[in-house]
Amino acid sequence: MAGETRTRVPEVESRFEWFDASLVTVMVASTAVVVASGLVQVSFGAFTMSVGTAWSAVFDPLVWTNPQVLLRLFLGEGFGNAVASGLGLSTATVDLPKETLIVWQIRMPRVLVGVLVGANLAVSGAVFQAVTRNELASPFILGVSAGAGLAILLSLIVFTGLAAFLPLVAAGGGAVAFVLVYAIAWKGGTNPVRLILAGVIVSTVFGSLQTALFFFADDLGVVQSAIAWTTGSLTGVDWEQVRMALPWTFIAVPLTLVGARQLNVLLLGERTARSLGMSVERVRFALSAVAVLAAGTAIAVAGIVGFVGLIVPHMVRQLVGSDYKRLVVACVFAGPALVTLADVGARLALSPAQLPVGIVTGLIGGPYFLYLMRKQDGLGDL
Amino acid sequence: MTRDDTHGTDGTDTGTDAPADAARGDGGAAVEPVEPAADHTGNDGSRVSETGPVDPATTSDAPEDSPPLSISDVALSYGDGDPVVEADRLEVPAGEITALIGPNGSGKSTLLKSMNAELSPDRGAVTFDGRDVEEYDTTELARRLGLLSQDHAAPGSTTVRELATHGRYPHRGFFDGMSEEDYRAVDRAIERVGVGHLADRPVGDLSGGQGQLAWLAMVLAQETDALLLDEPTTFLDLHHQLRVLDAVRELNEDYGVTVCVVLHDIGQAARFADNLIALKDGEPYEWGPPDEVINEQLLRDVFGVEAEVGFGPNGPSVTPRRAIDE
Repeated sequence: MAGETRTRVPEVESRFEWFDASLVTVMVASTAVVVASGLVQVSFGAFTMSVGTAWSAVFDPLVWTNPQVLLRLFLGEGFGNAVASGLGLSTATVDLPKETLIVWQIRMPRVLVGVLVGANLAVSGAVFQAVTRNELASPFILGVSAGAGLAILLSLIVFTGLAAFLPLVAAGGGAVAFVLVYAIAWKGGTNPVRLILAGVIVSTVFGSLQTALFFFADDLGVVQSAIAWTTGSLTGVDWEQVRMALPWTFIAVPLTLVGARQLNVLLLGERTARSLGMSVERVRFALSAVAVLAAGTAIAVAGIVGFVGLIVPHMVRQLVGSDYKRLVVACVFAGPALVTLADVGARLALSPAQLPVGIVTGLIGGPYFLYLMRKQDGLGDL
Repeated sequence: MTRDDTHGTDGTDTGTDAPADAARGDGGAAVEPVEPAADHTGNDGSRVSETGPVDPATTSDAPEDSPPLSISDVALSYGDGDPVVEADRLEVPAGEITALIGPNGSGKSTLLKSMNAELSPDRGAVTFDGRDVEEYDTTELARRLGLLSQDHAAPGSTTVRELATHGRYPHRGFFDGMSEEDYRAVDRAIERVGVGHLADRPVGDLSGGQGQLAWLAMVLAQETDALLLDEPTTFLDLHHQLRVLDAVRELNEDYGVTVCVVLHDIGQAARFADNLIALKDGEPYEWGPPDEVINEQLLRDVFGVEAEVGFGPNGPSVTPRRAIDE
């Protein structure tokens, strides 16, 4: 009888009751950081303009009122036009002012790729941490980054014809590494500690192979771009990379959100998850595949940007708690904030020279981890 | 040895329990039986008669409601090692509480694992409701058989209600949200365990005993026909030990849920359970109702203690005197 009045209300509210103040705060704050970093990012470069000019270029009505311009940027010239005409929109060329052109054509992609990379790495790390029930897990530690990096180097140096399929190659390499890690860790089931140790083994071997490949590179340019890949860099990214990463992000992130409940149950421990009717190994493997895809996507467009997958879920957990519905959403916002902010640092620190963003995230990540290690005794358990 | 035997002795048991049962029925449970009874029948069509706690006279029919767990000729081992447990025939009778007792390493938890299909027997089978537990689909088994394991851990920021909500996992499809029935089941479980006032507290802030109650709420929200509990009272203070056991007993009395529980405290097991299974070195030493199983010789042979066993209206009581040197 009490149920009559009581159950109705949660029924309506419950779908979004997990959407609490702390989560909204993280989302708003992260968005602010992304916007601010983005504005700084688009105003610097060979052609310097003030933040104000950059701002007005970003919000140039010529861009926003002509959907075909945005469609062409996000979907590519041909496909964008096709979609525009398919939707009954004009496909006319729009003459943009120089500032707008520079900001949108050349500088915007770097911000957008940073956003996509951040979101993918953070989500990937969050999933790996739940799957292994270990706070220290990340695509980096589980060997996924090393596998993806090796695959990319191979396609840059040895199989040069594959360059067009980088996200797939990277995800493939990451998947191979992860399957290897899983196989090494498997002993009638897996456990978090064995997974991490296996990850270290595979990372070490793949890392050596990466370095070995440098010796087979013919010219210095290839070596340099290879090094940029292995440290993770957003320098010189183009709309091409945005188009490359966008679809996979739109697959991996929603899948992770859908899997949030599975992740929550996985966190209760293998035995409990099993007694609740979960096919633990199957779910763990499927979610890992999603995480590999997300990591592969990020690595394909920006190389191995370290620490993001490790720190972001960690920071976010302190703020919104461990519920994966909240955690994943928060990661989707906080990951981009960290990467775009770090990329501003990468651009400005030694200006005019630019650092790979991975160096900056490493410089932020290391000390953050040291701080955690000092603060928390039980670090590692989730 | 047959099921009928157990029932005979059980009849006298329920006789003594009946007044307490009726008194309890007058209290909080007065409203409940109607609704949940309907929902239990909804979950599996096999139920014909549903006995409520209102009429104590019918509680002896309870075994018809929930299926029994039967163990026939099993050998259990980990990996390629020698069998840890070997048992010809054991039965966890339907609608009753059965306690597994025995010293450390006697195979209690191992036996429990085989009942939950966590451990495949080298030979033989564990059947639940007449079907090999290994043949059940994991979700199907989880809807009918719940487990409160010992090694559970939840992230500290999970609230008691969130934890209890996870108990609905086997009842929800991959994309399903919470149905109204799911919410009701969670509310019922929280109320039954008596953690309503803690529902929005994170489990990380709770005491060990409160935490265990929260976990029990999760397992009860699963609304299964049978319940396996792996040392649910170990490390708890007396108050919370009784809270856990009382909640389980009420559930058993109200819905005839079959319960199999591993207990460390033999006196507690004797008071709490309808049946005991005493294990020694991985083999059943004796099984049956407490007053038939507990005696000085069992305590000497199985537990290695010299003890006095007294027989009171609440079953046998055990007063340990000293450990016997092997």
